[in-house]
Amino acid sequence: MKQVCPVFKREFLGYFRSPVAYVFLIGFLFFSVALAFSRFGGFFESGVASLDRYFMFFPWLFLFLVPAAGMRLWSEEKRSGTLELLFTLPITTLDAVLGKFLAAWAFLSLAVLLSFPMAITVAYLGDPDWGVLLTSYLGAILLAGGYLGVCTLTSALTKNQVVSFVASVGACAILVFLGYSGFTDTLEKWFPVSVADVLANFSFITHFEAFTKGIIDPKDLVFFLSLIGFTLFLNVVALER
Amino acid sequence: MKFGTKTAAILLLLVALVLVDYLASSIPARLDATADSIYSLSPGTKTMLGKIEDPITLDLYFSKDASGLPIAYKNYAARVREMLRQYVRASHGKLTLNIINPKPDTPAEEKATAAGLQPQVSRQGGEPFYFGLVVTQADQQKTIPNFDPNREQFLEYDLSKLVYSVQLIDKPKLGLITSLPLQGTSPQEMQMMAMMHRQPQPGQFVIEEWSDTFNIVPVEATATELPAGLDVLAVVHPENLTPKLQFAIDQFLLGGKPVFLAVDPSSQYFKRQGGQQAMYGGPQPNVSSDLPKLLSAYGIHYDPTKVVGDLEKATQVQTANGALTRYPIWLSLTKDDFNAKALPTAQLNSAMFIEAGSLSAQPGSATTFTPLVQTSPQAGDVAAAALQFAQPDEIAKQITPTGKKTIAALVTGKFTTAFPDGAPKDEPAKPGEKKDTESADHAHPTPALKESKGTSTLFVVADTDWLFDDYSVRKYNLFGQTAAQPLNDNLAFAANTVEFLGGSEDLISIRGKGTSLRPFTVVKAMEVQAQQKYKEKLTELDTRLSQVQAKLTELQGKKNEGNRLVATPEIAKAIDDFRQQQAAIRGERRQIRAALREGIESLGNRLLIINLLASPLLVGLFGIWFYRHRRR
Repeated sequence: MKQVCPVFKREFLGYFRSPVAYVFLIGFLFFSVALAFSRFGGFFESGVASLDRYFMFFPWLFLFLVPAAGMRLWSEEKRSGTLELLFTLPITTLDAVLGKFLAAWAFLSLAVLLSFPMAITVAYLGDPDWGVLLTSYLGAILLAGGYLGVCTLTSALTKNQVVSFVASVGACAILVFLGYSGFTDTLEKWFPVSVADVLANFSFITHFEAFTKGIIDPKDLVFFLSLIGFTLFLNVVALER
Repeated sequence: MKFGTKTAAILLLLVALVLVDYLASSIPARLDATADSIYSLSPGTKTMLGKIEDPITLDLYFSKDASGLPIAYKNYAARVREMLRQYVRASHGKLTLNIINPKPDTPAEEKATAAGLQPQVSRQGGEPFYFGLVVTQADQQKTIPNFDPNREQFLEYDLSKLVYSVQLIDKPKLGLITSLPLQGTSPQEMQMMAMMHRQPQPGQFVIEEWSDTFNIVPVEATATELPAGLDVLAVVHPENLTPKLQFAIDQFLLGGKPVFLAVDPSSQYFKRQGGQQAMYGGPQPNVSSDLPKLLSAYGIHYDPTKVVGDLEKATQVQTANGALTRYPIWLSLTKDDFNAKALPTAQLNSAMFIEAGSLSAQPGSATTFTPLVQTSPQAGDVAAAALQFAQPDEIAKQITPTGKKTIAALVTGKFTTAFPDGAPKDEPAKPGEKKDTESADHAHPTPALKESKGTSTLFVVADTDWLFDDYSVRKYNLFGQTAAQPLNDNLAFAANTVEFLGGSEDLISIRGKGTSLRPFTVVKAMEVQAQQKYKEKLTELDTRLSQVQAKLTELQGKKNEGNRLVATPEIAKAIDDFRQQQAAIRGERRQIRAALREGIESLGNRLLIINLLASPLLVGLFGIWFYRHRRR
């Protein structure tokens, strides 16, 4: 596990060496703000000093942006043949998986935290509930981690970045829609209600919503962390096959 | 690892993932990071639970296996279950929680329906499901027939109220004297109203709120005394009360019993009735109410001819032509306007008062006057009579801010009677009427109180419209039944106040929690500033416009004198000039109206641009720095 740090550092700094990362950060910050201020978001018109209308778009933005950030994690190494080179170094697969994942997660967290001008804006306009703002940011970071876990896995399964992107968008979309009634109704037709319930409990949105209300529930924390753990394990298995 | 081992490990881990998540969902603890701890049990609930003497059973019915159950209900059921577990823990063994899954055609389902729970069907169809609560203590039983996820913020209050009310064997009595149809139109009145083509009025939610904790005893305005055994008295929009009834109210208060008094300089209900009656040539009802004799004796100043207008707390309304405008005599009050130290208002966040009056303490009064609800300093008086035909924009111009106005107050202390000469004598009999020879003093064998025995409590509010559903709740259809969601804390305030007067303080500390609206204070201040800034200019323009219009009418009259066209070229030119002036003034007025919103709109645009560019700019600058640093 000692080698996680060097991998993390190399990968994290690697983001800033590529212009794609800047385009990603700028794109994410630009779209998230534009959506909040748009007619759909109605942030300013609502007249309420809260970031609800900003964070409500995150599950949808992440659905495309996280796969865009995570698709190259392993696919690129596989395509260019550097994967074999990486494993000639004295590091374990787990070190490499963890290092790469943590670097990408830190990068996404940075993107989330860079939305701080929105927090300053609500503080200027009114008197926001800082507890709710902090848990919303924590929730957004965990949500990004959940999406990223799925993306690293799809990236490890294919050489092609586009295939990786499409597969992660598909998988994450399922994890988003599991929380919608129409989707669970269909599940209930196929499985007993209790099984459908267990599956519906794997929806990103339901677990993220509690954070945006100012609640830190162990079940939501465990959901994101266990999902990350599980996908990283599969990631290791996929790389070692 | 071999392929088989890998597959087994993946499957095992998947099972572990599901198990861990399932176990985590049954952990009862959670962290509530909201500023007002809106998702944790409040001290009021804990105190109330600590006072329970006999065991109480909570039966939570939830058909968790029903197909087609909306996901929102499943999540909410988990929330309710978890909150009830918190209740059980805080009750130190006095509460028992049973979670029941009433499957179709089972004794559990029969028990649920017998307790008054109704099966619900979701909009998407699917099986009917139960989601309700039955609270039982000995032979007392109360239910929440359907939990509604829209009332999540009031969940704790709803649960606590149920647990509290099940312990009340005999509800205290609340005497209600009112000229308003708060309890709905009675069957006798319905016939009369049908003849007069007037719409019957449904019962208002405030009565439902009060009925939860009190037995309501209606008292007619023509009564000469109060029924025996009343615990609290509510007098709402008193009209034509007999002197004897006023005396009875006075003695009730002086005897140490609490009184809730709501008067109004301009009642919307009677204004509407007036409109309908005018159509049928009926007499105009009196829209204002007052109890001058009592109020002045208790050291309270109230003028029923003045309505409070507040430029800062104005409500946004739609005018006849569809435009949005701020209506300063409809007050939308927020957290800062409530007395945070007084129990009935401590937890309130919003309320709406319609054409309210103002109250103040008379100098030298011996009682203590505690304001509970106040306007902003941007408030002033408007003559109630002037409201009849005035447009919203014009009303704003009539207001000259004179400082904060008190809309509701608690008056406590030793009151002096409003009847220093004792009970009022009987009215002299009209010719032909048999005179009642018994004097009033005989009717009250006990000597009249001249002063409060102990401390008396009077709650006064200078508005009655806030008690109506129109200004307090949004009604909607929930599975075929009418449900209501509070628009503001009006109902909470009404319930708080009578419950406070009736002595249950624990419930008050719970209510209103979680409705914390955090408005854009900067935007509100800008709106007030803009209105102040353009007030004079608009008044001047309006005066000029009416002068020009008067001139035009005069000239046009001259032109058509005696049905003959006598327009000289001079008159025609003058008419043309005035028309142009009229158009110019109207244009200027439009511009000012646009300028009123301009500041706020440009603030919105500025913030959008700052937010769109700030972080991307920061990222760009960092990129340049990072690139240069690397090259070195």
